[in-house]
Amino acid sequence: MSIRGKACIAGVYEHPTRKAADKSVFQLHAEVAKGAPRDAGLSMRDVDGYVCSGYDYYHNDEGNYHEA
Amino acid sequence: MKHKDTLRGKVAVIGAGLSPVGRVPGRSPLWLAADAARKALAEAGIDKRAVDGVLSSHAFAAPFHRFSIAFSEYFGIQPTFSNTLQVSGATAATLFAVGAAAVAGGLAETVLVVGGDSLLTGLSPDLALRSMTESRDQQYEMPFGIPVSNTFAMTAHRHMKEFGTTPEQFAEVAVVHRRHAMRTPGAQMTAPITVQDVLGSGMVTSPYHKLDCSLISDGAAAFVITSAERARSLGARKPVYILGAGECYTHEHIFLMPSLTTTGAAVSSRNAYAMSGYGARDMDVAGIYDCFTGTVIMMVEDLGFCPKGEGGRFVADGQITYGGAIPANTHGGLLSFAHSGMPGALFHFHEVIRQLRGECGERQVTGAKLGLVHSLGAGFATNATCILGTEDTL
Amino acid sequence: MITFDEATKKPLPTPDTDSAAFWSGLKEGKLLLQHCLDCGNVQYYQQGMCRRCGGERLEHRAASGRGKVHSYSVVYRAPGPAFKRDVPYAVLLVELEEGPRMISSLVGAKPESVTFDMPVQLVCEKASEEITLPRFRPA
Ligand SMILES: [Zn+2]
Repeated sequence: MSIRGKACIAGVYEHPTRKAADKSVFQLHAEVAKGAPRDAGLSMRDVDGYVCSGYDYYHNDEGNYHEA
Repeated sequence: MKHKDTLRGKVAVIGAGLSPVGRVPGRSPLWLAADAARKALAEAGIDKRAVDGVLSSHAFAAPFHRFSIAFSEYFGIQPTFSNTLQVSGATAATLFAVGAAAVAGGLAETVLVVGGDSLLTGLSPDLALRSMTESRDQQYEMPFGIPVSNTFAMTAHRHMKEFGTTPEQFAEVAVVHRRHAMRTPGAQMTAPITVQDVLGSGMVTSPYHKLDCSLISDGAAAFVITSAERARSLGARKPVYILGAGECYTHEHIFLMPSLTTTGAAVSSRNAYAMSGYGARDMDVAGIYDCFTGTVIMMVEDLGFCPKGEGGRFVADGQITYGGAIPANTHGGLLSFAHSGMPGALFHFHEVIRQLRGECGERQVTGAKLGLVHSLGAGFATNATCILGTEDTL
Repeated sequence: MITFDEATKKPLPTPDTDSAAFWSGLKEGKLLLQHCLDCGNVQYYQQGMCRRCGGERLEHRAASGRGKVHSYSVVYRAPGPAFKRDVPYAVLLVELEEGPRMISSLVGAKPESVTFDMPVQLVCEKASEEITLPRFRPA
């Protein structure tokens, strides 16, 4: 069992911006997320999974540990 | 099913372990996790050196940025596959799905799935305050004083409005869970309660009273998963197979939840059932995330155990306990067994796996072969379902 | 680290580059919604692209401020020291006349008086020099 050859990278997009004072982190994620399917000739509706690197858990934590 | 080549039956759980749960003073989340892990490995009959993958949830009381890595160091292992997953309360089921995918894809051979936290005795005053003040979005939710409990309360409230669900029906969920916990060794809350006790326990956030809300606990659970082939070659006793998995993420903010009364669980369970080749009526036992009583009522609908809107009656008719359509949370759940945060939902896995192995003693659901576990979190933002089965169900 | 003093202060939003216009609108008494000029979607809250079509031609327009209570929950146990003085208070899930829903809280009436589908009206309530919060009273 291995993943060898089972998946391929169908589209890529690198954001041209290097200093994005006027864009939120979510906006930057959204812009690159739009670019990659476009490169693959797909639309957002073809996408059913999303994985990202994020920012630090402790500043992004849901926090209410005992109720959810 | 979208994908023909699925995980179905490729991966098995060969060991499960629980730390002490409830009030466990003087034990860190890492110790609790390691204690559960060594028990799971002992049950699987394998040495820790055979573990090459570690997946964990985060721990609030041990704020490592990479809990799975910190755990591995603490436990004295150096895995070649590891991650710390975070989709709130749904993390538990995703640990099994991702772990199974890693094994099926050859990224790891033997994965330890582990989660531990000590929310009851382990939180410093600073962390306790943060947990209260940082619980929801700081721009659009938190300025209005909305804890995550409030998001779940609003869904339950709307369920009352749309379907006539009653506070007594919510309370019945708590009563059933307590009755289950009374037969579970080590459960945190074992004093019997009545519907009147729940209704008289003081309002927290309407329509939820104190006893409609889950516990705050310490505790950990761990599991050893490996390929079905390896489970056989190891001669594992009663392996439990992962037959299906599904997830669904519908929103982040509660005001963008598409419907307050139908959740992503409808989709995650549909996908998990499809992968497994079984449906809701085939399930013998269930572990259903029970952060609040109303959550269980909404989930029995979305998971397909009864039609939409009939969850309240379903529960009141005795359908989620022994002799009913789907005995659920036979350990007592988050409401009465223990809820140590993200690891809380691993206790549902532990119980369902024990049920499928026929090891539940007086709690045993006779002949249980197929089980569903559903984890969810963050005001129904995250939903993940797993279908588990015995050798006979492959 | 959060000190106890900080925790007793109400959490106020820190606007980001997506939401700056929204919070400055509230200071002028306007609840701004984004209207997508490409697909017509109306969205709350502010972001750099349309959640429906991904378009970026978004126009801020002030909402009427009228809405109704889609759901609610009255809080009796405060989520932290900052809200202790306020209990009981009613958190509202308001459905705006323009379609989007938002979280807010009730002013100008007893929390126990809230009902489903109750008509409500926007009240812009100054919380600091920078932040005005959108709250609602019975219409
Ligand atoms: Zn649009």
